[in-house]
Amino acid sequence: MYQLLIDSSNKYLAVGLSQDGEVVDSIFYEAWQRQSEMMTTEIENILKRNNIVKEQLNAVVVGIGPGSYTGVRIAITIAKTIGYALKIDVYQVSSLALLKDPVKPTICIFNARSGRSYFGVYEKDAVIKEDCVEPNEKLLKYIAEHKDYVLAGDCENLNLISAKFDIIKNLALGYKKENKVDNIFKLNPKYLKDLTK
Amino acid sequence: MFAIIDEVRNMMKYKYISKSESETKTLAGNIVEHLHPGDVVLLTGDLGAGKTTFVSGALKKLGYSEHVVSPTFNILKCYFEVKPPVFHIDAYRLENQNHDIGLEEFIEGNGITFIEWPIYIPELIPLKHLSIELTRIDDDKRNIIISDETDSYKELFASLKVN
Repeated sequence: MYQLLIDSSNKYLAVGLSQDGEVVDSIFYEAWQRQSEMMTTEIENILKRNNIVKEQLNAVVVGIGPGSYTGVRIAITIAKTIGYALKIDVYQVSSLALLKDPVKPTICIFNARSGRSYFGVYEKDAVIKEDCVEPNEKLLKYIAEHKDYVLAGDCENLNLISAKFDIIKNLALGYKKENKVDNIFKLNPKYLKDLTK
Repeated sequence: MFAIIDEVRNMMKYKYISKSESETKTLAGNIVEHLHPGDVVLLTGDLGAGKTTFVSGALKKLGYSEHVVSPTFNILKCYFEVKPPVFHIDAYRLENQNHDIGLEEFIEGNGITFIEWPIYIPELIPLKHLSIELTRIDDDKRNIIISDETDSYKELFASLKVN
């Protein structure tokens, strides 16, 4: 059985296929604000080119944000729809956690605009710091205090350099029972921002 | 024709009398040539003053040939087909509404953003912006005031002065 892997929370469009945690195929490119036009088409493409029919899918793994206002809603909507229609399980993963290095502790960053960033810190399966949205100065202070951590994600606007990351591989690793969604009707994006108002 | 009304140290302000819709569009085209990704243009003026006409002129200059309408219902329209992309916001319906609908991703994004009725989303307006104020003189004529409080558009104002 195969798992469909999707994330659109930020500037990337990520569509992948995995077999028990191992990536089989992936489609990944920048599609800022345009994922809604492309995601379903790319899902169809990846299934077709691997000769996989929908009955061979047993799960959808989805990045649930935080991130772009529209972006966080697209992948989740698609994941919930497929989960409901095919009666298969949905697995949720923080979109920030998808930036983590396979071994080293990573400060995962997305631009939240208006001088703020979303960030969370991950090391393998452990959460070192829960996802949050903070003014950039606060993030920069955190980075300065943790110089041994890897930086990944939206670093350019902070004049920093991002390490390489593999969103699809991390989605594939998200296929494990603690990430399984019990009730897909209750699955919501990780907004973070609204809570700070 | 242009007249300098005010050119104090940190405030550029120019006035233009447009005699027709087509002149307003030409002016918009001349202005958009000096704009870059991330720039924000505020359009103020009553209904029918020519705010959407202005955006339409800018889009035409960038190669968009279809009819342009104001996103009064949609709030935001994206023109990804032109370079840089153009985002057209009409904030009229956002008065006393929740503004947390992701508009900042476009305003701070990689395109040129035109905002009609910016008065209704004050917290989303960046300090650096170009203001275009349109006032009706008669059916065809419009008084257009172009201003920049942060002195960020030197090149644009220099070119307007020459014309």
